[in-house]
Amino acid sequence: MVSRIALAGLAVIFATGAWLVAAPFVLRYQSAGAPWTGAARLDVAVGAALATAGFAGFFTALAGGVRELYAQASTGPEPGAAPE
Amino acid sequence: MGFSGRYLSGLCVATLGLCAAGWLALAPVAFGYWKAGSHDAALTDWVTGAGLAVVSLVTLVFWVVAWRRKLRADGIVARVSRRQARREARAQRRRERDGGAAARTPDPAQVLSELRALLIPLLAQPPNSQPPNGQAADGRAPESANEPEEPGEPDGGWPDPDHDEPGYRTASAEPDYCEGDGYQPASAEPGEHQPAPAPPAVPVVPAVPAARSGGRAAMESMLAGTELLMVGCGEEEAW
Repeated sequence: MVSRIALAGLAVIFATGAWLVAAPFVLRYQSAGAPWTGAARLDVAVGAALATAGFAGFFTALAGGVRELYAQASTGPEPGAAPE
Repeated sequence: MGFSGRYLSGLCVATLGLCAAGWLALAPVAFGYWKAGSHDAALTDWVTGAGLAVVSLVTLVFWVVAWRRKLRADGIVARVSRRQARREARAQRRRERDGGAAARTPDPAQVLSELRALLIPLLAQPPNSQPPNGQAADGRAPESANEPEEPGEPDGGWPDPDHDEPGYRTASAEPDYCEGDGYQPASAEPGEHQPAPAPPAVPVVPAVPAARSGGRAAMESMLAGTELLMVGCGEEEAW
């Protein structure tokens, strides 16, 4: 449960980064075709960094969880073993 | 990277999100677009930064907890908390101290002194139908104390008249050390009377009355045995 909440936190961080990238255009403080304002550049840059980090962290953590499951399965009882 | 890479990446991303939240909170003020009329951008950055800070903090805490659980499950980190470990160490020290005290060899002189202190009041107890301490008013032992008992009298003594323990050479099985200074040997002849000693200046062990129970006889035997033991061990000074 703890790992799932932590994983969800990484997904939320990724979503926040994506929101920061889209916010200037969604809220229209950056008009299409106009020169980019400082606020829009900053939000897009920070959002992109957050989204990238969140994405990478989320899948790294997910891959680590899957790896642990494989390790537990390899050290556990044989699948064909008869239950005692 | 191992299994810890999962937790490390989560911790790093959560920390990066916390830093980004701080940056988003400061950027409108630092770049001045808060006053330049771009209120939507500033408000967006503050609100997003606040939310990101909360989410990053929660994520960081959960990754720390998950990693600690994993380390405890693997046995790398102790399973008990620091307080519990301290409490267990204190209890262990107490157990060791108690066990060490119990394992110490007792001092024989101290043990014999305690034994003597325990036995003297029992010897001084009056019998059921005799005056206290079994002595006459002038401090002398009653006549029956020095006279041989009648055969077949159930005194709880030794059935063997040839018992050669100290204090049991007479038929009355009276301890000899109860006379005078408490350590005068008795006469070898049972019928021979010793002159009555002068009343002692210091409290002495009272004469034992003739009628005794079996428990008292056993205690007197124990006392005589300890005397022999002390003399044999060369510990009479300690006695």
